[in-house]
Amino acid sequence: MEELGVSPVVIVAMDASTQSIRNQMAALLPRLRRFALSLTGNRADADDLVQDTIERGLRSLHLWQQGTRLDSWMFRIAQNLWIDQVRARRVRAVVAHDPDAAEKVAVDGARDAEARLTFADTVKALQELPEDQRVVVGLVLVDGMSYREAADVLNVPMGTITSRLARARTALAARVFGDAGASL
Amino acid sequence: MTLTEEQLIAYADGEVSGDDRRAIESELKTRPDLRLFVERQRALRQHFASDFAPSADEDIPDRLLRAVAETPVSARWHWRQRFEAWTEILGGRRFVLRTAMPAGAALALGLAIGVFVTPQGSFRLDNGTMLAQGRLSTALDRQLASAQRTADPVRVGISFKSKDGRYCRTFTQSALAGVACRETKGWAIAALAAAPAESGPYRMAAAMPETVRRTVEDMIAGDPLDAAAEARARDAGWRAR
Repeated sequence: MEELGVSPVVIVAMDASTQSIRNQMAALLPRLRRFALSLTGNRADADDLVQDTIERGLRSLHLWQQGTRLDSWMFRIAQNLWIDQVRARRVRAVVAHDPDAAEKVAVDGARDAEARLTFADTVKALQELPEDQRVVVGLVLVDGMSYREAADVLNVPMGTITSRLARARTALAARVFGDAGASL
Repeated sequence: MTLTEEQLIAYADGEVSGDDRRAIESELKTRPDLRLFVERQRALRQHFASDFAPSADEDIPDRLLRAVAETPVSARWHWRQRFEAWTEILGGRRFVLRTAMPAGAALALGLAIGVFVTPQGSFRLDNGTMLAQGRLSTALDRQLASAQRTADPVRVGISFKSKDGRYCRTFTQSALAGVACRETKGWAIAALAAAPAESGPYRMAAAMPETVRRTVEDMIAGDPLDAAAEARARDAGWRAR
């Protein structure tokens, strides 16, 4: 049948749109890695998360609504995967409870007075935020999204972004400026 | 006026506008404590932005590039793309088909609609060679890249002589871009690709899909025709010597 004569051309058409999507995803890699680093706190876990995000995104591309922003969708996948991981890990952590953990937190608290944080300190301060706040900080302060864009990624009202961000920043400002400058 | 931390932080982030913004600014004039709070929130934002900025410039590990290049794309998305491009272009109008047909059947149907049934489509098959017809064929015959109107349904990009001595031209028509070469029977399609969604009718040759661009690079002998050579080739009926 004639279809055989056409198929090489059809494949060309198909490959072009696939290639275009791959190019767009490659262009998102730097932003996704930076966002993942703000969530996980270390490079290796961040790159694992980005790899999972890319694989999930390409394999479930039919769920992406064409005409909507690919970056918002990919950031949403990244944060969903990360939240899932954190929850799974928390179950394991309860089983393997570390009796020294409370003491470590107390020692870290004493260092809070340092006015200027190193990058490692910044990352660590982020790690101490609840997950929902950490995600908003990653989107708005680290990636530079507007509140509207962050709300679209997380599929929540803008008011939720505003309040989570305010809570997170009060805690972070306490780290950077000491308690006096943290709140009104 | 009582300002909350939320309002001041949103203000510091540039997220407040209009009357709200003016109200906050007038309040700040008399409240150094609030000004200090806003400044610190700005400094905090700056701190995060600059701390994380370098991590976006680092080299991307190979395994991530491989994931982007090699992870199989959703089969359902694949077929939908393929099907939509063909029904839209070949039929000369937009079809919306929602179907539970197996993908192979859907493709066969798309081809049937586009190639064999719809008389005003832009392509036909001739012994396994795909030829331009109708509007596309006319445009490739007559239209000069230098004298196109933005309203033209077909846009011609560059014209060139191929290594095997034919005249070839790139074109776009709605969501398809391609290369066609003049043969005795008409314009034979050498490559066809779905044009990226953001392109629209004003796309330039430089924005050609990768597949089309690579085909041109493989085929072209020398440089593309300039406007004068393009006009001469057209007047000679695109017959290469």
